Amino acid sequence: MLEIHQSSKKTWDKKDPLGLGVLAEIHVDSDVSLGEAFFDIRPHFPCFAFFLDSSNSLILKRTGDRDYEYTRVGIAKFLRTATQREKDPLQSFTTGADPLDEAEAGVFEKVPWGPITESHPRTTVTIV
Amino acid sequence: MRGVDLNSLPKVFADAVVICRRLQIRYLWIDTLCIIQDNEQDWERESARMADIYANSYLTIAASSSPYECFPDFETRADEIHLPPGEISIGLPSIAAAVPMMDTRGNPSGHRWLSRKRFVAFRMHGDDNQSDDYSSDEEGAASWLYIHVGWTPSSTRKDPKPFFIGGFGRRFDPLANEQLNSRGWTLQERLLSSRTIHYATDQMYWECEKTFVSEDGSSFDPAIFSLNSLIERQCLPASEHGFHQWGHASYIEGFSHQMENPDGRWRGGWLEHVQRYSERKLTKCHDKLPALSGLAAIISARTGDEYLAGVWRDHVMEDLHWRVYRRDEFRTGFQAIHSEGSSFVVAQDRLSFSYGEKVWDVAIPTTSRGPSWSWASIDGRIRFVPLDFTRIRASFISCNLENSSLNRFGTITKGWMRLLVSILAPFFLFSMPM
Repeated sequence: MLEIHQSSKKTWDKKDPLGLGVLAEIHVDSDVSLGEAFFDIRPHFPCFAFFLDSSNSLILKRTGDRDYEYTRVGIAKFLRTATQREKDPLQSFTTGADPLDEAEAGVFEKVPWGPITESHPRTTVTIV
Repeated sequence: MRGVDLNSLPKVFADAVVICRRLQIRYLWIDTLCIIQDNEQDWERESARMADIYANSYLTIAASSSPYECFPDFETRADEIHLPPGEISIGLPSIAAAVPMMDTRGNPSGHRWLSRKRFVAFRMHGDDNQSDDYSSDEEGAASWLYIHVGWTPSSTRKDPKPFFIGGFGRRFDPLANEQLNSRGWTLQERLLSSRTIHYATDQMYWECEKTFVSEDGSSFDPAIFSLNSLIERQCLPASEHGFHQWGHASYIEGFSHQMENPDGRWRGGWLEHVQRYSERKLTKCHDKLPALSGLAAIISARTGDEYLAGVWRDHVMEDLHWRVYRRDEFRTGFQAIHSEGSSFVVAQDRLSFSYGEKVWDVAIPTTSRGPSWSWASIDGRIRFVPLDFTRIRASFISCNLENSSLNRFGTITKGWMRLLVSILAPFFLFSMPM
């Protein structure tokens, strides 16, 4: 696991639809995924993102007692990396079609909202 | 005991006795009289039975507007105009010319946002001279509009008021802002009661599984507070969880146009009720889980699901994904979050982000009420955030809980939950003011 560091504001691209909560990034497959974290009480470092789906995660901190035990401190949502977006862009970005018109015709967006795929390894954790 | 002098009772209790007599109901249960309030043992024993009492009662009488004082005297009401709840429920700003959004507390902004139109535009069949936006292009037979003399609500018969007919509108609980509904314990009481008469600020309401109607004739969706509806939604398959298929339509990277407006277990389901519950007040801070334990016990019995400190085993991923809202949040340009979920606005050239005024303090209680994964571990307004159930990346392994009492749906002293998940360590850049 990686330690968390304060990073430069320059790495945040305003074209990404993020601006609420605490802006965050994770490194996925040698690329950067940007996200928003919402802490329950206040930001806590170090902490870790435990992904429930491709984009959304619980933010947990280690308890003082045991290395494998964690306590919840918030949630965070992350967007796909630039590489993932380039490889598999949103339909509306490529076809120019209105997504709601497409949906009405039965064509729905197939790309995930976040960076985590089935290829990413999983591990057992304990939340207290 | 030979009896109780009605004059010795608080007005609200005496009123309840009178109501029961008129309805020829012989027995009346009043929590504060039937439970010895300063006896901890009696309170623990009787409060554990509270859910059974409400679930098995013939009728619940709710002094919704003033639970500590008296039932309202409708014949002396001072409102100049009677605003039926149907009018308040109008939620289409383009037609109603009303303020479109409500705050994330679920509170209407008050009467100031109401449309007070006195006229309704009609277009008769074949009338081509009309060019208003309300006309229909479809050919069809002309309709008749019948207007009758009448009065409503019936309690205003002696002093009739102008009545504005409400239109169709959004899903609406006309009792949401009544004082009684600001209290934690009353959420399960309302859900478990088979039928309830609400004495609200403006008029009386009848609520049961099939009907939710006000004295003035406005009717509401009974599924808003329906135990059967709640249990049905607990049994929805995973494909109905999170945001729906339409939620996969998107104009912008990472955000569904329906992200905050899901159906599933929100619409009259567990998630919606817990969200409301998080805004209610409890006299005793440690009652957070006990005050919902009767409801949890009934859901567990009827669904076979396991209750994990406010989280359901069969819906564990969805129930774990909550967050606190100290203030309203707005993503201007494509999404506005409000009490009914979110309104989607097509992205403009730029996005901007802003917070509303702080409306809620968030705190961790001094005495632990449950594990950190549970919404019950925190004091504050919470909302569940929908997940993409086509791409769930975590699995439940096991859970262990230790209760503080014999009530296994009550306060948890200690517990752990084991999950299989992908873990990454985020780098935090900078924060917006929260």
